[in-house]
Amino acid sequence: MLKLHLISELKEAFINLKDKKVEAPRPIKPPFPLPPLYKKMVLYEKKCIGCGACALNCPAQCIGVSDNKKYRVVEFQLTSCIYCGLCAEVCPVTAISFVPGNELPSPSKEHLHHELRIKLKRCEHCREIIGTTKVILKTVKDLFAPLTTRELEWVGLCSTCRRKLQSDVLIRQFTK
Amino acid sequence: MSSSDSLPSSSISSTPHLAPVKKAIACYHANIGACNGCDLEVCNLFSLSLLKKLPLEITLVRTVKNADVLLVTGSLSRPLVKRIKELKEMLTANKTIIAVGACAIDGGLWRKSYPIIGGIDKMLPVNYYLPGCPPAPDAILFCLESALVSKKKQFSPIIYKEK
Repeated sequence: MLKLHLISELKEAFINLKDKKVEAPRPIKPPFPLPPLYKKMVLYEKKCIGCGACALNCPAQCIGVSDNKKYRVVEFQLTSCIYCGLCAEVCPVTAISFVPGNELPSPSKEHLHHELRIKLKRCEHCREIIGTTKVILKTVKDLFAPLTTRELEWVGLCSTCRRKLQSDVLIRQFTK
Repeated sequence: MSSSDSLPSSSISSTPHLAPVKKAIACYHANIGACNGCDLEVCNLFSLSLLKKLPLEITLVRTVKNADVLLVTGSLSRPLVKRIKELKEMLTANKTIIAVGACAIDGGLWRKSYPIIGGIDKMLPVNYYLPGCPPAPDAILFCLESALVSKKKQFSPIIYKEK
């Protein structure tokens, strides 16, 4: 048993002698110049359409979206932001972007706060909220085929109103 | 501080050169239940200061009495309230307190959980708030600069209303 143990040790020693060195040369030096950190948040407030994709994807839940009478309020509470950059990845209009830089300090807590107010669009029939005007314009623009004049009339309505009006039209056709 | 001391094209050396400070800034690092993320970054900063390649001179101090700046990390938790009261008794005037990291400002990711009361500004008079999880060592250096020397490079909020 003892001999077997010795043989296995000798075998290991031979293998180690054959192989090249893996360790880094000492003393280890720090990696200068340091790579830049993408931790400076830039907000293009006029680009934002208020879709709320950033709020859904925020792991720290520091982005809040709420609807007023007239406006949709998008709040960025940077006090609890972890600067992960997921909101910038998700944003369809690239209103948020992270550039090389650092987090900036502030002497007051209330200043670490962005607030955007974007106009809401209401249904022309029942006055219920559909979304923001910018979202609707973007969806119309991004469609693969342009809408006809009759289809553009449906854009200003909510889904329930659309269904009702369509059914009314169909009933009129069949009753005649 | 001559220009030859600074590193070429590094992110830290990109800070503008300031007038030489007579005395090195003495910092006291207080951990109030942090996850060690912010503490590692603070340690990184002071290890860089040992190489003497920073635009500011910084030293770590072991007592609150000798410190100019308090770097506080971590959120305010219920079992540690007694200890923070002890720390508050030791404080004197002319000490700037910096809340480092999201947890120190607002509770961070744990702000909705039971044992966390909130940020440390409920107990201590905080002068500067530095967001980030964790903030980079460069950011802590910027904060020290803006708090003590230049008072520039501060966060500017955006308030926008569509017409």
